[in-house]
Amino acid sequence: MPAQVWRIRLIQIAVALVGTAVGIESARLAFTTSWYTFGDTSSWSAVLGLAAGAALVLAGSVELGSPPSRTSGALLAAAGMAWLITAWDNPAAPTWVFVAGRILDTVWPVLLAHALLKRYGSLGRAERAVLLFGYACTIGLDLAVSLVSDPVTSGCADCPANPLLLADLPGIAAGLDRTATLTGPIWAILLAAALATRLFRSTPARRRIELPITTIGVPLLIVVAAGYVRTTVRKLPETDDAALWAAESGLLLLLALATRWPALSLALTRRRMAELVVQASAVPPIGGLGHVLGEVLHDPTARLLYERQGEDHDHLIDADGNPAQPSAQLTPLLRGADTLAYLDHGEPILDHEGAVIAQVARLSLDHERLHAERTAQLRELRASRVRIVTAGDRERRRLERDLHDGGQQRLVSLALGIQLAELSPAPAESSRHMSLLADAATGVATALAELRTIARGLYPRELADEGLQSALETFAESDPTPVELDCDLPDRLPQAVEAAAYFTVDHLLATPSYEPAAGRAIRAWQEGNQLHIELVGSRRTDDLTMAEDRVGALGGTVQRIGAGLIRIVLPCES
Amino acid sequence: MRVVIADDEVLLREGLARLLTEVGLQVVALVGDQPSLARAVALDEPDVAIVDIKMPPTHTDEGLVAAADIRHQHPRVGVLLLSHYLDSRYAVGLLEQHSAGVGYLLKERVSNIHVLVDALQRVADGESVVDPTIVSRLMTRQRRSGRLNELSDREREVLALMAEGMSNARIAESLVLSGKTVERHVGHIFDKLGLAESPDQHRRVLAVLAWLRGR
Repeated sequence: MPAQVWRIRLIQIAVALVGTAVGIESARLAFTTSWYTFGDTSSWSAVLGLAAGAALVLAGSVELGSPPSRTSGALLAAAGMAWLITAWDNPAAPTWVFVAGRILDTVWPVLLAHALLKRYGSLGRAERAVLLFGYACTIGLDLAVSLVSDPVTSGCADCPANPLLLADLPGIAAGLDRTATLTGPIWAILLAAALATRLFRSTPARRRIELPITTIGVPLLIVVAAGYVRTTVRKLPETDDAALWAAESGLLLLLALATRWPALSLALTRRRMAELVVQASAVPPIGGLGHVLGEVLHDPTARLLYERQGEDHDHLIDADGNPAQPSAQLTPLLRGADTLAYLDHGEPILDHEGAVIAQVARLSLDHERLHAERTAQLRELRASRVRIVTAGDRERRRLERDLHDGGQQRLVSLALGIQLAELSPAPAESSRHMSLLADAATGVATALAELRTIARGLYPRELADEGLQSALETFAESDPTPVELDCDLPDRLPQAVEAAAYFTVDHLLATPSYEPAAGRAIRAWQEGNQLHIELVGSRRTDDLTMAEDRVGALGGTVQRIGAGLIRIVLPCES
Repeated sequence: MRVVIADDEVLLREGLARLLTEVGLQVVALVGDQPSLARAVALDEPDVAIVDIKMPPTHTDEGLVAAADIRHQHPRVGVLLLSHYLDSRYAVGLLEQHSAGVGYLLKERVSNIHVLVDALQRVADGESVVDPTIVSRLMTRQRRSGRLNELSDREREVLALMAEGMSNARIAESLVLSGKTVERHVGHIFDKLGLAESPDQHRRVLAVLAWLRGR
């Protein structure tokens, strides 16, 4: 256990011990004297009051143990002790106990309100002002009164002499007393209002956890205000005074119990998370973890988003690796400083719930996150492959066009020129001249034929203009040996798909012209969103890597089914 | 013979015009796109129009559209399409669209003035013309597959010329045979291939081409 934790434990124990000491003294005074304690002389009111004080001190010292509520815990314990000290304002008490009782017996509601406000975090200026006002009107005025008033001379013969007395000024003391009584309802109501405002202004998650405590604290402060009003207006029967005290005791007791609510809620969360562990241990399918969490958190809209590791950190992806926009609230699930995932949820959840999810479902989260990342990467890779292939096809088409529009046209013009020269009046050495021209004409014709073949190989015109069916028909026809073609593709397919299909067929089925290859066949048809092609009689004995690369880029497959039978399947969505 | 040339390649159409003038044809208009071609055909009343299949604006098959237009509005004017593509589908498509007076030649054929002038003459006479290279390729394929085995060499020659669109008279002239001999050969060919003989010249070309393209 680290040193800091030890120190906290010691402080907690010390607070509990001091509280116990205060409580023992209060109990002694309550049970051994006949004076009013906790609003009555009866023992049941004393028991209730003592129980409430003890519960508050205990709750405060427990709260001291967790860092965010440390100050509030200390204040709560102090409020509990101050509540117990109300019993010390008892003439039968030892002098200093009596003095402490006189000074401290009204401050507990202010301490309590301070503790409850502090639970919401640091205080605002107005809250601080009201608290200061409250402290001034209670402990401040009481201290002032004990400096200028001797209880013995003001009618309490049994009271011990006041050791703090500076000067006995009954007039001023009475005025101060009256001020304290009159300002009481004011600060009490103001503090109740501040507390209620805090509750309404806090986040839904915070509100859920503070609701029980604050809804007890606010009426308690109102009861305190009523108590002051009761003191001012002395017309009410005595029993009501006891009833007010009993209400305060009861509410304090409830409040002490309510401070355990957040911890209880955490325990509940843990139990729900335990369900999650059980469910998660079955390893939910990818994307299923979000559903499991949705069930556990009773939020069907809940889903998990992951940060895409890499250059762009704003980029979130879902379990399937698709880019995702968070729809509602986004709670990071943290492990240490690392964000494992984000929970995108419609219903508010608490920070500790996020932490517990991160803890409990860590392995599943890691698993799903890695899967999401890998899927996203794969998708990007695939897109880039498609881009590369399409760019290649585009380049082929451009070259094919350039060959026709540039090279071929020039050559035809050249052929025309030669023809003209042949027809023009012949010079002296005409036969030599004519044979040279004839040679040139033959050369140009050969160049044209070759150019046409190259252009066709680059990108057949029918493929661009009329589609795969026409291109395959021409392929089957142009090949030196007949190829049987059974092709049923009435509609045009996306250009990339047509190109991939055609060039794959060309690659797998084309044979050198010197090697006659009979018995080759192409079957092509569309089935739903897929283009199917079967090739019979491919002479290729090497592996299908090249075909697989081209078809695979579009998410298709190439398989060798049996002897000489190859099946190509290509998805057709553009 | 009055000729209109439509080709967006200036160098080529000028050269072609000079060549045709040189061999005694009358080139009445040189145009570079389809609207000008339509105007020229309407104004100059040519016997035949030489049309490049690729013309502005898209450079794909404007020539085909232009051919259809001309044949529709001026049935008397023959159209000879020039193409870079050795593609029987285009040729057959063209022939199927029109009843007669159309031709499909590879563009480079212009460098053989005799073939070109012959083709022009035949188109002007209302016959059909299919580029010999296309026919010869189809013939090669069928010979390899063995479907032409029953034909004699001479019959194969006659078949090829029929596919190119020639009439019996021209075939006779081309092969230096008598008209009767050619007719006999044609009869045998149709018998052996199982084709019904048609008196219509154009239909005959289409039937023969269809047989040659078939498997």
